[in-house]
Amino acid sequence: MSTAKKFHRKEIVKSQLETAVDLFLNKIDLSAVITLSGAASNILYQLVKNAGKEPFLDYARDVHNHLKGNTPSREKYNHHIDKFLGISAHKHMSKNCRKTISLDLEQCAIDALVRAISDYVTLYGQDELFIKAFLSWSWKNQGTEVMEACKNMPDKLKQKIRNDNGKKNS
Amino acid sequence: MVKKIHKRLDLALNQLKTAIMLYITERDRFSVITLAGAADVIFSELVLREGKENFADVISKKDSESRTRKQIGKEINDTFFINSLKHMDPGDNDYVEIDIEECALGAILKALANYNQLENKNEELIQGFGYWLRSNVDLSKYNIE
Repeated sequence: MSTAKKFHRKEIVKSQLETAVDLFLNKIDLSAVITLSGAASNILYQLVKNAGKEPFLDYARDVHNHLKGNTPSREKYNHHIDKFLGISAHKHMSKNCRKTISLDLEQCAIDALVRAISDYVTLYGQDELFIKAFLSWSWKNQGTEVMEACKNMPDKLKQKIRNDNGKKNS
Repeated sequence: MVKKIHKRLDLALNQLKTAIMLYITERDRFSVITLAGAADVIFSELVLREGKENFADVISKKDSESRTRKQIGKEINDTFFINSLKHMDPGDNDYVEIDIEECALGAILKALANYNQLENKNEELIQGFGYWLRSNVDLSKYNIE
């Protein structure tokens, strides 16, 4: 007799993302963090679109256009990000792939989490404990680096962020 | 933080170990399925590179409909809802109906079946999980002694 139950995609996303944060903060397995964050991101993209909001991927494509003058296709840019974050290396292996890969696992894990959490916060806010835990870690360990990067970003990107924030608050 | 060279086998094995850890400590089953599924993709390819048949090949040989390895592989992945837990396309239902316990165990066993074929497998991991299974799961319902 089947004991199948219905689960909302939010529950599926939340469980995997919460597990990813837990594995990361307790330094258990960075590879698992990367894969689970990637899985959550894929589902979150569609949930955010369904809610009529802008997912991380589309914002990133917009930033690319702002900086480089062209908007990469969604599929191509998603593939690029997955490859950059090491997500592809953890779940794909075609016959032409090498048996080894060069990755900064910790940085990939952090970046994969940030990407997934940004979409999670867009949809559900940042009041849940696991989100607060990661944001606290991030502020404590990367706050200075992030503020420096913000200070040094190109002027036209700073202007874009000001304009986007202005639209959100109006 | 610096880049290091990692073996794909190690990236997969770490995910499988974490999947097993989450499973036996009764933690998130969705994560178990996603991690075991990811590890299995890499194991499957490494098995082929050692000149052996992977799990989908074995099933394909017994298949009365003569489906290919790829078709069988997709059907098995769909049975364990591996793709549903990491993808969502436009128009997809907001809900997924799944027997989460069965799929979590199935996803681990599929990954282990391929891992077990590899030359440098960790015998202790396989035996350890097998011992845990015999002590905690009624294997008779899966026709396993």
